[in-house]
Amino acid sequence: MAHRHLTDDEIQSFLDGNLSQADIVGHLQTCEYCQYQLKQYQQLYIELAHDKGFNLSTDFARRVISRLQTEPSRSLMQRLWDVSIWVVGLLAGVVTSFYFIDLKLVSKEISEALSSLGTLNSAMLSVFKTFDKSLNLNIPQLAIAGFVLMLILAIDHFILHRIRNLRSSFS
Amino acid sequence: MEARTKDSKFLIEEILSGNQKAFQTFIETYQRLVSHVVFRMVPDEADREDLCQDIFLKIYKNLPEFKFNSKVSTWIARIAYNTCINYLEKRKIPLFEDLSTERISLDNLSGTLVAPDEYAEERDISQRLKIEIEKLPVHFRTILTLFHLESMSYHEIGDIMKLPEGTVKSYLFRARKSLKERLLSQYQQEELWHTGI
Repeated sequence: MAHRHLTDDEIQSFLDGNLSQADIVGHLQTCEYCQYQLKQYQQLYIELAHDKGFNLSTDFARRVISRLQTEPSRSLMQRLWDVSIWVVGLLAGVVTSFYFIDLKLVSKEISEALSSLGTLNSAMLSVFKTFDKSLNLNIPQLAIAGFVLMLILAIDHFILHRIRNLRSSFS
Repeated sequence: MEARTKDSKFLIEEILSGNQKAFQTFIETYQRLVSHVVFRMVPDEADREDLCQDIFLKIYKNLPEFKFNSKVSTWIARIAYNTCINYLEKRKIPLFEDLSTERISLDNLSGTLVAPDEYAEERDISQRLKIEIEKLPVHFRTILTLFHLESMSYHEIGDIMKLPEGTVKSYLFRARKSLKERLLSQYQQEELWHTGI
């Protein structure tokens, strides 16, 4: 090190405290060029540590708090929106179930199974058979229902969620 | 450090229990950090304060999720950094993410030197430095800010910006070297200008 100048990286490492004094001080004592480089970096470090021009308004904290107090009304609206989506989804599920299942047959079979309850296993088996028989399966309709459900989920996930996040981030 | 962590923990517990005064104290404690990140990353002065407010609202919403796995200041700086990145991306302001791959060197950036007479009004070295810092890519500016104004380590900065420690160190060294050369170059150019050589 005594025969070559310090690199910029070495000077910066030294000033950052990553190089030991022993590695560098000996050279600096004899090299005016490196002393000059070191001084320049020291001046730069001093200037970089000044935080001028970063001033927020004096009542910044109060402004944030006041915005916080207006937030609940928005989140209440969001919650109402979420609840309404859930209710619509639930109703759609119930209506779909009623459409595909013959409820009269189900209730009749269940009551018969329960009245002639011999063992628990045979009763359960009978209930499952009843469901199987009463399902009014229509594959194209099922496919359409599935597609509509996926579409609603995709709209909620990719569009509505993003809109809500953007609102909460930038409003 | 230990005492500060305990203070922060107490403050956060108070905020979570609904104490608004505690949140005000929290904001006053960390607004300097947030303003450093935002003011260095966001070029549009009109948007800076609003963005700082948004960041504190985000912090408030996410406070129940904070499990003290990192320092509070690191967590806050990460939220501030990510919010600024989203803002810049939304406004299509270049981030110079691919600085190393496209080999856009800082030397090329220094090619846009300001004429000496433009500097005549801003003779203060701090102002000159500010102008030069603003010309740097956003990641360089952020690293300089977190290291020199917030005294964060390479590791903490890497944690905030999701960069390897070595990359943080490399960006920091390159930024400082570039600033030193550009300031020196301006100074020498101005000296020549004034002496009429």
